Amino acid sequence: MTAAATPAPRRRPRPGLRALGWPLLAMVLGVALLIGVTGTRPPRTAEDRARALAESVACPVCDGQSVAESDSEAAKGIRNVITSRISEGATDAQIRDELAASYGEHILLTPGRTGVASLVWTLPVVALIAALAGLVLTFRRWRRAGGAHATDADRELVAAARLSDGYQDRP
Amino acid sequence: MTEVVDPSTPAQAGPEAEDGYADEPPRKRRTGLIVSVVVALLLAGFVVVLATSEPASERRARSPLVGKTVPALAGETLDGGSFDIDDQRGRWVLVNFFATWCAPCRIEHPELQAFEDAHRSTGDAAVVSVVYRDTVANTRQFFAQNGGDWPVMLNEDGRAPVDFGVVKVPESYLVAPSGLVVAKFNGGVTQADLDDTIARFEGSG
Amino acid sequence: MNNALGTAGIVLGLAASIGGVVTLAVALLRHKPQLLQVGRSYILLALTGSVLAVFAMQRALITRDFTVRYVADNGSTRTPALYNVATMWGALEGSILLWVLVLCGYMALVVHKFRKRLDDPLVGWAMLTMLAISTFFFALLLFPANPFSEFHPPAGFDGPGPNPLLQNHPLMAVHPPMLYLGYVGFTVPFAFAVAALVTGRVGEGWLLETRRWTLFAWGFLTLGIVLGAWWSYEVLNWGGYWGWDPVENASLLPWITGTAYLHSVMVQERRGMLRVWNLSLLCATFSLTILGTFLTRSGVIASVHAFTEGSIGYWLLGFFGLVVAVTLGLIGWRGDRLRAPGRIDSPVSREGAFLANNVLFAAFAFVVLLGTVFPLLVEALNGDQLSVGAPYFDRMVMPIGLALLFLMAVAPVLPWRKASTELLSQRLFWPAWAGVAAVVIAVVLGARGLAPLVAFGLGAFAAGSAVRQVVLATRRQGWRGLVGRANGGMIVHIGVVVIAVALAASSSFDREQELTMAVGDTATVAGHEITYVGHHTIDADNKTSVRARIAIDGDIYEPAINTFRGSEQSVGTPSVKTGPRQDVFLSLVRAPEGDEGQTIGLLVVVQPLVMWLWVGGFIMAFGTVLAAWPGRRRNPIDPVSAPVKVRGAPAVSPSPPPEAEPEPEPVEVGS
Repeated sequence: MTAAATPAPRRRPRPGLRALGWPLLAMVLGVALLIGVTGTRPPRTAEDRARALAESVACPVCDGQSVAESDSEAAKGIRNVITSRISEGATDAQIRDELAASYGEHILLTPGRTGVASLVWTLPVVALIAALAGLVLTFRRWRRAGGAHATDADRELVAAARLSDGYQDRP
Repeated sequence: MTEVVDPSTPAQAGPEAEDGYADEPPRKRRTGLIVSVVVALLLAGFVVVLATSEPASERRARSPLVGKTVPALAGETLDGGSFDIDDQRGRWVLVNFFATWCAPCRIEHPELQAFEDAHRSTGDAAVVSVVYRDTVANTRQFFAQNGGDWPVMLNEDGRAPVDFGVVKVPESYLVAPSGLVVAKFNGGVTQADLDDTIARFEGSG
Repeated sequence: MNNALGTAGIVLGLAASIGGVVTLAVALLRHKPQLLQVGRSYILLALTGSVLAVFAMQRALITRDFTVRYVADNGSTRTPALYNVATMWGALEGSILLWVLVLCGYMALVVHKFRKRLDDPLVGWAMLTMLAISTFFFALLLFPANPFSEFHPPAGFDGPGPNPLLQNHPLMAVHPPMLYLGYVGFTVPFAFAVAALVTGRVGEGWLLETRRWTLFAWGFLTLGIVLGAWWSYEVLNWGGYWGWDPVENASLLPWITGTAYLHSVMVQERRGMLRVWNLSLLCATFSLTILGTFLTRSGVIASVHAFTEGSIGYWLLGFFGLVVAVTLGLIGWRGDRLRAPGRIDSPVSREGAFLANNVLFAAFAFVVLLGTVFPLLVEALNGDQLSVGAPYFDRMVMPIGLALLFLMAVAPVLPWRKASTELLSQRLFWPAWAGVAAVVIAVVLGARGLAPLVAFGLGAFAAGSAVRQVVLATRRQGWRGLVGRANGGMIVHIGVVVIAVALAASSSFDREQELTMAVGDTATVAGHEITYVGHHTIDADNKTSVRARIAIDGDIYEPAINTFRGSEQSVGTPSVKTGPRQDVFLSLVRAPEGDEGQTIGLLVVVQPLVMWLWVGGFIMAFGTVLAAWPGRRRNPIDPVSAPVKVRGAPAVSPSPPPEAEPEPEPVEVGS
């Protein structure tokens, strides 16, 4: 396939329209997100709270399910206690602590933010920051090393190539 | 094929360097080595941890209550009275969670009876059963058929099993006269187990 | 008879594998290329052995031959035929049988594909590696996980049948084989990677040779994971499809690194860079399949899916350690040969995007792996027992997923080497508007919440970019604009976007309610009218099924509770009304006790767009097929960045069009 054919020039929209395009896009997006994020949402009921808590507590007798998902007797019992504690006004943290005191830390599906357990939250962030730092450093090192430099040997090679039969310059 | 030098290599990697890597700065080779060693160590540690972990099913048996004061346990009993574990300070109490639909619970029932009978005269140990997700009628019928003359808490609000961290019935918690939980029994208990445990704790002061 | 046949098959396979390893090692180390041809015979022998063993097992299962211990433990006269066949992969020993069969199948395919090049040491080392791996698995079958041990059934014995959860749905027959075709499929590119490292021929040739193998393995793995999620949804009782369960994570981890590899490999083909990344990713993918197998079969981590415990854990862990040590050693040894002569000029370029992609996927894999094994690590450290469950994974993975969506939108329009803002703004204009339009439509339809809206916007952005590529390619090349790596890849991206949008919608806008209903009661959940019509009981051979008849807006659905004979466990079978806008998921929580007048406990979960998860999965599979489509082929073994012959022969300069990025035009290299 020859390289002679140039692709036809694209028909560009009028420059004014394209220049308007991005700011307009940003505005529309901003407005939509504003409405979407601050708009009225159904209020969080006690049932929602109970369900969210239940999804963060492991079922002690099942393998890996939360009490929200499990139908075992132990899970049902814990769900009932969660509901009644909520109606007594306990906070989420209190309920979680009470359950952990009875069953052990492993009943909570979200490891705590303190102590050894917090490593599971911080390690990925640390790793990601380290990786990004590594990338930045690498790019900087590459840029410092400078771009490509042609040597005389390279120039000779290219000249010879262009002179040889069958070679066509790209436009 | 004619060798074509990639124009982006620095000029010193001439055609004689067959793959252009001969004059790699030694620093880079060392970094590679260090990284490999570090990764190897981390993975070795990881493998060791995995090799020495116990199976998940054995992990569930321990209880965080052991060594702590017994949780509050008070409420209505089967015969219409009331029970409060704090009144029992000064003697051993076996808190037994059971259900009539649970086969091992039925099997352990005679053991509980024997234990209760043996200690009734001295009054140094008592049994209290807690109904776990079962109906009053069933429980009444069960005790009528099988005997058993100790407080049976109805547990209608379901709090007690969760306070104690009950996973699966039958589970029993042995509470010392001081109010400390000294042992948790998963599955059915026998009279021998209970007496042994009491003896062990009384012996050690 | 079956025991003898099966054991004979396993022994044959093991002997052939060991023989093959020894012979090939001698041939390679003593530089006897003709001897390498013998590798083919050994591989075919191993295949025969595995086929024999599987045949024996299937025969035993279908005829309910209880003298085979595996059948006695897992089979039953009452299990329907389909599930009996599928029982082979329902428990540990049988699943290793399946693994071995698929592995030998792949080995035979490799030997066939490379039949004209069997005396090439690269292919020789690859065969050796594969035979070494098959040695391990055959050894597993002979020692810790023997499915053919003798059992003497007492008179009238009937087995318990497979685990009730495994008898509930026909997807059981399909999901594991797909998954294994994926897992085991990665053995082939891994073997070639090891071969390339050992021989020092780390140039591009081996990569291209194994590209399609990797793609197919990845495609099967993707399909297997999606089918697994679908199966969970249809069978488990709470309307969930992904729980970040350790076994699920075990299948996801190699998928993550495999996806990163598939992308990063393009940089190696184009510019000879990122070789260490690619080799590491490929070796990590294979290692993770072994680690995953260990996690699910050793019992160290509790899981709904976990198989069993026993000494097999030590075998698998040992093999994992061996694989990791060997690959680390090889990469360390050949490290200097892997250094690329070039460098990435600018972070805003296709190479830069792929590098960022690698980093993000590596972070993704790290998070999933850390969360899965963290309880073990902590317990080893200080004895504390803690759990890491779905809330952790959801929270940590979401930002990574959103970043990946963004990259999916931007990377296809990035040119190689360097991009200008002008170029980007020109190419991304319409996709960006697609993204904004999606957000606006979602807000208009009532969706609220930052995370789902951002997901919808980025998803449409990515989809717009992919569609743009495909449109441009079809405009240039007609129907060929739909096939080939770049275009098929765009279709796969569209599938990913569909899944991402469905994920965001179904997890952010789901509604759940647990109802207690008497006969004739009606309740309204999320705009649907739910009526309890009645119940009936069906007695089948293998189970008793109590079914409740529930009318959802007039249509009858029957969630049930099944009690299987042979197991006292009763297992709920949900019933789902699927629709393009939302699914209404019904689960019978409490069966009616006695006659009419008793109440049932019914769980109703309404989740939007769930169906699109499966549709997206199939789009991805379809896109994979398109991506594997052969283009107008040049000699596939020639590296893309081969030097152009200059003297005395017609040379052609490759001329990729300035716009979209289809397959590189065929390069005719002289002779």
